Amino acid sequence: MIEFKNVTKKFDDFTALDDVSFKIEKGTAYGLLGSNGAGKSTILRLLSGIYIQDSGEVTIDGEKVYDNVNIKKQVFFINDETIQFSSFTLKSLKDYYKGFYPNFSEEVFEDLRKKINLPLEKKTGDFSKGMKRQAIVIIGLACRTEYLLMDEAFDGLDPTMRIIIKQMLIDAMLDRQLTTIISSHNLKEINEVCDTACLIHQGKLVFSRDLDSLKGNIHKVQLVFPPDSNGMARVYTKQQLEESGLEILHYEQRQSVCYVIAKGDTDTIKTAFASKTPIVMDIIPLTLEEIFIYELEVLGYDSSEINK
Amino acid sequence: MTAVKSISKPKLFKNPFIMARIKTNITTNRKLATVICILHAIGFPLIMALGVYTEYYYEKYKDNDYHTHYPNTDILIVAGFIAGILALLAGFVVAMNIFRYQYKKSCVDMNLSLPLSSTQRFFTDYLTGLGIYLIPALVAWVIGDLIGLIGIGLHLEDMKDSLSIINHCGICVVFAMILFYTLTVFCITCCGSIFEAIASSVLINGIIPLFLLVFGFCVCNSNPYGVMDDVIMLEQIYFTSPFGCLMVAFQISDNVTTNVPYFWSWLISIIIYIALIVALTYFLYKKRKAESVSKPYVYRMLYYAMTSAMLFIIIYAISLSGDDFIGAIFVGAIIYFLFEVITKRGFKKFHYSVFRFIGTVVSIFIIVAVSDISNGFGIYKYVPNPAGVSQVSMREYGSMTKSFNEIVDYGSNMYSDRNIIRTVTEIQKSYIDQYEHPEKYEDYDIINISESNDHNTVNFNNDIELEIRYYMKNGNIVSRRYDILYEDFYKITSAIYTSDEFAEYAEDIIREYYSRYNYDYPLRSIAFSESKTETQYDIQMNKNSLEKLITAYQTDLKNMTAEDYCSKQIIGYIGNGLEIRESFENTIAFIKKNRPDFNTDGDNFKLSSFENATVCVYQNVIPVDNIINYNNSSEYRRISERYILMSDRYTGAGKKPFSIGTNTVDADLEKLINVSKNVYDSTETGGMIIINNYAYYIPKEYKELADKVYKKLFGNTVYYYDEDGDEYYINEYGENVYTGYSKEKYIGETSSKSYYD
Repeated sequence: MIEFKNVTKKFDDFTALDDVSFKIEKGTAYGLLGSNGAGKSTILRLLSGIYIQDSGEVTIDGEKVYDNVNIKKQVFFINDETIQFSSFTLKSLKDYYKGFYPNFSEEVFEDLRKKINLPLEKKTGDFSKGMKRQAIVIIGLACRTEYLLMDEAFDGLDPTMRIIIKQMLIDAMLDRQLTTIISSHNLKEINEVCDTACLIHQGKLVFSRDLDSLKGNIHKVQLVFPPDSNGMARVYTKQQLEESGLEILHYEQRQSVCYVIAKGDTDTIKTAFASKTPIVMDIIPLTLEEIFIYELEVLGYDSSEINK
Repeated sequence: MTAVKSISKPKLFKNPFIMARIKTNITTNRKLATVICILHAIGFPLIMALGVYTEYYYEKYKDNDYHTHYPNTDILIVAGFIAGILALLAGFVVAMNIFRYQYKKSCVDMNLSLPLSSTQRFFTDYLTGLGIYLIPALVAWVIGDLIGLIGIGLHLEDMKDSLSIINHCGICVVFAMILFYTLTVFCITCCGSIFEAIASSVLINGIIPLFLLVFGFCVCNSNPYGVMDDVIMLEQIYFTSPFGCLMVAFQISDNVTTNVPYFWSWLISIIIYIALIVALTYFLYKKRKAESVSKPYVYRMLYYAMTSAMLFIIIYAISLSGDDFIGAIFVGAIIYFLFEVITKRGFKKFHYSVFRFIGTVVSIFIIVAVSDISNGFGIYKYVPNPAGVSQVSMREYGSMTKSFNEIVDYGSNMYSDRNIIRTVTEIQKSYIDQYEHPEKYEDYDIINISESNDHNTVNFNNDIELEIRYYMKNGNIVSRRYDILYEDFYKITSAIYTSDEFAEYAEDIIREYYSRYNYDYPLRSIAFSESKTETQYDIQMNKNSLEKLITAYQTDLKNMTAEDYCSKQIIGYIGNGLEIRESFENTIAFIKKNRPDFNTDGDNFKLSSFENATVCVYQNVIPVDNIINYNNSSEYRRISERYILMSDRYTGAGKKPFSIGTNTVDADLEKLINVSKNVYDSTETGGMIIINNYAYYIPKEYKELADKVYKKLFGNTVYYYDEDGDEYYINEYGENVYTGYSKEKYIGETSSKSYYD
């Protein structure tokens, strides 16, 4: 299990992570979501032992990560760059990592390599961006570590390759309880691969929970209320709607229809709005992307505000 | 997913990750390693091969028109040297490659995420890089030695000695390489960007020795008492910089440092120094954060230290050469602010840079002022503990006493006798004490006595400049130079002459005299000269006789006591300066057996035995010295021979001499010569007689005789001054002879007070 306990990390005067705490159970696929510069890569580097936190604890299976060889050999980190191994061929890159990860499997490597048809003796510097990504992912999988950290995992991959890589990850997770932590802006893929996710914004943790309960706990509601005594469509303000006890992330009124993003399950939302006697109440689940946008909007990270 | 058929198993080695890291480092640097190997192959082995080759040809054709057969290897030798130098400089590239994750952001994740602790990573990387850099050099060295052994097998002259020197030099070069590499790793660890890493690595190799050198000048320019105007920090430079190591190699190759113990002491110093740098680098490496990459300086202390040292060097060196402080500060400011702008990537917080510059300049002036006030930070006070001194050597810069510089001169002889070392340190202490507390020494009577213009007076300098060099057991060399009284000088020479060690040196000297050649023919003889007459007698001898002479002389030396040294007359010399005292029975017996005509009495000469000699007689003797005479009653108060011709030291020159030859008859002069002494054992004098170039003192009881002889032979000499104030006399041929003196030389009142009154 991975545990982040009250972790703060600063870079000179800039606070990258501010008192962040979460847990990641073994065998899960955990998504790191966040705006640009939120601290996702920092979390991955803390978990892979590259950075050391300024305060708090970063542990894997109860042991500190930083400068701990026993823990580090269980973690493989794939960062978002590909330039650092441009001078390696796929074979030499494989040999580079093979020596450090005792569980490295030649069979797995070969198997995966043939699936995606990567040349062994060609310099990775001559690969395309996507091919470089594929190369390091199959090496990461072949190392057969218990934890695989991926920063912008699917960046540069074509749609077909994304499916292939995703399937590889899923197979590994099923096969040997691989714990995967993926940081990505592609929320669709996070949605497809991960079962748990957290949202980081400006170094602070917004939430960390499993995706099903996350999606089940936030809905888009379309409401139409009966006309008032003057025959005009009744309109409720956001504050009036919040009186029902719900947390409203987003409120929009277009003519007679009220669009609301509310936190809570369907039953709770129905009960809450019932008192307002809407004539139409459609409760629609949100995509992860929509959850991401609306959660950050509350925190002031709103495209309409930024573009002003 | 298919079932896994095999899994990489842990290696047999205890830590497979370290082996993996070593392998990775070698693999990723294999091209560089190959280039280094080629450079080393072209370097030392080629030069050795060419050396053996040319030496072989020389041996083969030296009697048969060698120059026609001389193989032209100049271009190859130049190529070999260039390749060797490039190979040495490759250490910089190796360190930059191995530790690139310290300054190249794209390499950070790939290296630091690996399952290695920082300790494992540092030492693996450091040692792998060192191996890539050093192993080709060591292999080249071995190959070069094997080639040298071939030369020895071919019976090439001097190859064995050359090989020994080369191997000592090789050790110096190896440690220069290790230090160069280590300093580069240190700089890389302190820096976070490539430009600063390169600049710091290059600059530090120059800054360290230059700073020590200039700091030494700063200390020297404070004129600390006794500290030689020399390179004070030279020993520190030798082991703190690669350049210093190469200087040691050069000295070995130039046969300057022939003393092996000091070589090994230097080796220990440099090993400790390198170990300290490695320890510091490791500490900083471990503390360093991964996110520091791309900062110009991760540890700004290195930057501050380097820029401060650079400022010190620039300001002090420029102002030293022309007293131009303003110009020096201006130049220093340009360079300083250039560095500031580059490392800060602009003019951010420029006012801090200004404050730091001002602070640094002020600090430099404070250091210089403190150095001046404290007489070079009190360096003059240091007197080595005799127990810590391994050997001592000395050189006299004075009247160049015949025997001292020929026989005892430093560079030739180093003494480890405890009595000698103790004597020298005690004398050094006493002069420092005099310097610090002149008020303690009330019993002084002469300071800056003016020289006399009387023609019956001889002025002499009663002090000599003695340079002492202590070779410490820890490898340091401490040098000092003092003006000391002759009486203290003779305490030292007494300790030397009465030591067993000197007896051993005397044997070497006698053997050297014996093995002289006249063109291609060995002389197989030794010259013996009488004192006073300087008549030389060559005694031919075979090896058996030589051994007898050596045994006799050594026995006499060992039997000589300090009291004998102070009182027994020198009746002659072996060779150029080995004294024969009147108490040397065995040596005298040897001489008498071979040359019965040798006058071993020293006081029974006839005037006819002087061939074309000149004498000057003086009724008064005045010491002219600038140092305080603190001890009137020293048993060593006596004066020995001096070279009269050193006129800036012994102002008895320029007086009209009296020529004596085989036909000269003068009973008084003859008696005066015979009663004069070269070893003076009294505090009273009746004058001085100078025979040819040597001075002899006339005992007080013969003062009347000296007066009589003076008046008879010299009293009628006419001295006159020309319009420029230069002094002349007219010799027996009617010629005007310049005495070397001018009226202006003599200032103030003449003190006719005798030194011994």
